[in-house]
Amino acid sequence: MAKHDELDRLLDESLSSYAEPVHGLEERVLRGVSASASPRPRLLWLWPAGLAAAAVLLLFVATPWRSPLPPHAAPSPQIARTPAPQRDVVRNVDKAVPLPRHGAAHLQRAVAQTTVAEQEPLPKLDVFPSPSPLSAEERALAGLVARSSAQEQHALLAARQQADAPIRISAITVPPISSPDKGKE
Amino acid sequence: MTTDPDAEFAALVERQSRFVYKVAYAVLRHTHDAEDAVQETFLKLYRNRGWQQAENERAFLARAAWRIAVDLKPRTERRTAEELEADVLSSGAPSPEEMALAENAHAHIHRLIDALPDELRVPLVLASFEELNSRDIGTALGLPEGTVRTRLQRARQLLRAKLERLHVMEVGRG
Repeated sequence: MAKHDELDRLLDESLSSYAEPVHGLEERVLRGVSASASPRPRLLWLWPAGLAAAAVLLLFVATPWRSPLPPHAAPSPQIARTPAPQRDVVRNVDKAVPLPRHGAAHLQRAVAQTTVAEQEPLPKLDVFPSPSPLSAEERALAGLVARSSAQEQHALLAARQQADAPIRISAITVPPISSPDKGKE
Repeated sequence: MTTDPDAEFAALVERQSRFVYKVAYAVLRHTHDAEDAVQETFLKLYRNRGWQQAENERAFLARAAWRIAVDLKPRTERRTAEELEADVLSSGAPSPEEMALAENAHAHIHRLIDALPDELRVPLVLASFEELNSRDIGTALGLPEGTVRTRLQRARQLLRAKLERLHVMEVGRG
């Protein structure tokens, strides 16, 4: 029993001195933790540089990049409301400001003038579509009608009406074919 | 009472680094790896300040250190036999020849403790601290209290048996 106790005492003593760290562990731990926890001074300059880069990127993404005259731009609401005079507007623009082939500034000026022209209301027409002057053939036909007598005019009118009337075709009847030898028998 | 968090942390390191080292060493059995585990444990504690809410500081630290050491263990298991031998020499621990010559009983027993399986060695080392009872050790290692007691008994029985055999051999030589 005494031997048993002695072995236990020896074991306890050995356990208390088991795994002793090398001297100065506390200092090494504190040094290591402070080195790992604090940000590296060499990388501090990266923060403002990174922020500036992020700001530039954000501006680039957020800025709408529009060309002066987009090729398939949707018409403005005002033009869409009055589609008929649009052709006249374009014609007016062509006459008033000859569009230069190059230069965004000229184009922008032309567009601005077009917008002003669009805003002026156009006069309403009495007859739509607007009457155009008679051609030479039409004038010759009108003269011929004016020179003819009343009877000829009626005949001409009747012929016109007849030409316009639908054609009626009577039913075709085919008589039965009889053999010439039938009566002889 | 100090309120500076860095001063509190420094006091914790002063108070418990030896204990954390012993826990880590009990798992890893390698001085450099055990120091790495201590550094990692305290760095984690510095960041989350978890010890401030712990009821039992040592039990809390034992669990934190044990988990980190267990995570590091696969790395140490890949170590070659030559590296282990070099570590034994550099750590100041006597070689088997030196131990035989000096007849250092404690060094013998340290070797025997090192030779114990992990599941017996770690509870035994933790039980050497008076502040930790079987329940605390069980909490730290994630084991039931009864299992901890059984393992402690088995560890002591094994060591006693080996020491008795060594004593018989020494008597026989004498």
